[in-house]
Amino acid sequence: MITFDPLAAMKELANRLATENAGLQTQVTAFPSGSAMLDARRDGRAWVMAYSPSHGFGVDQLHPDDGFTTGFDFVSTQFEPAARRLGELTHVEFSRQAPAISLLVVQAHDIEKSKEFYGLLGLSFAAEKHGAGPRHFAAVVDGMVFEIYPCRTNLAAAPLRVGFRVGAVDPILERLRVHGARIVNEPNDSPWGRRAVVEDPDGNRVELTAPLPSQLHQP
Amino acid sequence: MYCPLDDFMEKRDDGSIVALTRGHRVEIGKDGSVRIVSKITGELEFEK
Repeated sequence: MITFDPLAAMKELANRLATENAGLQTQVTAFPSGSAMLDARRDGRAWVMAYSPSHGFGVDQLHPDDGFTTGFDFVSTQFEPAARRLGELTHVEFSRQAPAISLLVVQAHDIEKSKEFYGLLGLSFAAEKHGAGPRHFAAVVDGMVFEIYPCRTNLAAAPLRVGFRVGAVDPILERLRVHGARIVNEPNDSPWGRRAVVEDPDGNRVELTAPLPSQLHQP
Repeated sequence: MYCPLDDFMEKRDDGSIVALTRGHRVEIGKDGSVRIVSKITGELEFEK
C-alpha cells in the first residue's frame, strides 16, 4: 500500500520550484507534530506553504504588514491544489516579461473562402474539430495560433483588424487582387514599413506590412 | 508576527526551541536568548 508522505512531497516541490525559478531560495522544516512548512523567498518577497495533519495545507504570500494574521489565503486538504497555488504565486511574481498573443480566432461565414484568402498570405492551415465543436481551420503564425471558425448564427457583425508581417507586400497584394479581395489601402511606404490593407471575405481588415529596404539594415 | 502554534514548534532536548510562524522564524536558546528573523527579508528583527 502506498501512503502519501506530505514532507517528502513538500521537499520535492521545494526543489522543483528552486530549479524553475532562478534565485528562489526554498527551505522545508519538519516538526515533531508531523507538521511541516515550506518557505520560499526571493528579492524581498516570500511565500509559505504550511501543512498540519489536523488542518491540511495552507498557502499564502507574505506581506510585511501581515500583523497577527494566522490564516492562509488558500487552504486545501489536498497537496496538489496547494502545490499548484504555490507554483502560480511564485511564477506570477517572477514573470515580468510582457505577455505574448498566443491565439487569434476570426469567425467566418464561409470558412473555406477565408482559408483560401489567408492561404494567399502564406498561411498553411490544418482542418480541426474538437469533440462536438465545429470544424475549423488552424495555422501557426510565428508561434501564435490563428484559427478560422464558422460564425455563430446570432453573432453580431463585429469586424476586427488583424496585422501580418510578411516578406513582401506587393506580390501578395497582387495575388489577393486577382482573387477578388477588396483593397482598402494600396501599398505605400510608411513609418511601419511597406504597408497595405485588404478585407477578408467577412469584412475583417487585414493589414500587411513588410520592412522597407532601408529598415532591413538597421541594427 | 503572531504567537507560534504548537504544530510548528520544536522543543529540543537541550531546552532550546525553534518555531516557525507564517512570516517569522523564532529561535529561543537554551540560555533564554531570543532571536526573531523575518522570512521576507531574512533580517534579524528582534534579539535579546
